[in-house]
Amino acid sequence: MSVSLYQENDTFLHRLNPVAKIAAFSCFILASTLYLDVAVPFAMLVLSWLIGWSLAHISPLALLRRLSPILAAAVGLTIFNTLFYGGPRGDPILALGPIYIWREGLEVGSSIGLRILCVASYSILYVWTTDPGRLVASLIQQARMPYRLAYAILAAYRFVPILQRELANIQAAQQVRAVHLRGHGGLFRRIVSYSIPLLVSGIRQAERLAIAMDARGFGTLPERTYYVRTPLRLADYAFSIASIVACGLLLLALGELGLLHGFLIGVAERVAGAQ
Amino acid sequence: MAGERMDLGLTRWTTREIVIMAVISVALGLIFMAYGVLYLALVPLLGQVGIMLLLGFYYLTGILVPYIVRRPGAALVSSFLAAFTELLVGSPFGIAAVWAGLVQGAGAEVVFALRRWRDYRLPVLMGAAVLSGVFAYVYEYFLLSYAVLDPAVQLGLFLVRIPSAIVLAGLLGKVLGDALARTGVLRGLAITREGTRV
Repeated sequence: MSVSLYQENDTFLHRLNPVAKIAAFSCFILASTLYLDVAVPFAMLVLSWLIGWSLAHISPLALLRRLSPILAAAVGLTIFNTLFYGGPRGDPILALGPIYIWREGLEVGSSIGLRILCVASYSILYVWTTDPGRLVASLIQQARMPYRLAYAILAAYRFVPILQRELANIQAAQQVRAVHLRGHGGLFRRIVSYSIPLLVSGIRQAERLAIAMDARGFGTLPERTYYVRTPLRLADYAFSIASIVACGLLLLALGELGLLHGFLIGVAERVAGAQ
Repeated sequence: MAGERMDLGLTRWTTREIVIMAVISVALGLIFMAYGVLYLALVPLLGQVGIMLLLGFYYLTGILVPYIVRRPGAALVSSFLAAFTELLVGSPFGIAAVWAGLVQGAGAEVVFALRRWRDYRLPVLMGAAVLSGVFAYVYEYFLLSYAVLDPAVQLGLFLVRIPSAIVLAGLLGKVLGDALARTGVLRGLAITREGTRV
């Protein structure tokens, strides 16, 4: 499927069960949001590179390159959190007129900026190593999603390249008719003028598809057989457990090194107390 | 195995309803990807609080699809599907978006459930959009640690998205749904029938 960023390969990370993998990766992302110290999201970020490198032969550089578009967003979030930091603090390290910058604010801000990079890093690694077809199969077989729904997703997903082409056509057609120059073209109106033709064309194709599916007796039985099977193997259990253990050990090690101060809940309480 | 499988009430949906829901959600997922580029580009201009004026658009799926098919579960499932599409197509925030999609969809679903999935008038759609925003705020509160921000800024992040949700999800959902119904492609679906089903 051309639209996906999936890179076909046969590595440990590729072979993992997609649902088990998203659970494990969510675990790393969750861990990166628990503390306000820079060390935690940074450690999780580095861990994502190590996982990609050792388990999927993806070089950290390649992952970094894909992360670069997010860099601006991460920096923006850091600046925002630094400027509007409202937690406990000492003396400002910098005063620009009415704007003060606190060391604590800068630390917490950087931590939250890194957190976004961490989310992006795991998401990209996930998409690179997960076959969309197997992901949907695993949603049915492991996440217990009703198969009528899952097949509809798969079918709709096959429309993606068609819909993308359709969107380009609509834009070209509207440009030819100079729709964009016709005044009062607020964002709201623009969204409507693109969405309607796109959705109409999608719905028409969905209609034909649904008839074809019904004609083949789709969904008449509560269970069905599968060509793609995604059983949970020993490796899936091992990776999931190892992920949780790794998160715990990493946090423990950072704590031992004295790098952990602000646990999320603790800070929330301190913020409330400081007022 | 059949007994354990969650139902989501989907057994009562027609194949056409399921496929149309999937297509609309996937198409909106694609539109969200394009919108995301615009969104990120406007953050420096509007600021992190000001950009909340554009955030409501992301709640649209959980309003438009239930408005069209009018079935229990439509808000939750379609909202998840749109986010899932973003993950598949390679959104850099994919995994966080999937969880956000579930949370937002749950918010809208609560409002539709309170009206017993029978009432899809504009105020209900707007209410569902607002609760999507409230649920999303709670999710972001943890993901992005809003707790450390100045209380006035926290309040701003919360309040500014409300009018956005009302207009870009609630009102837009109705406008889009009605416009689609007028084209005739939704013939036979709940939106084109007067009254609603039980």
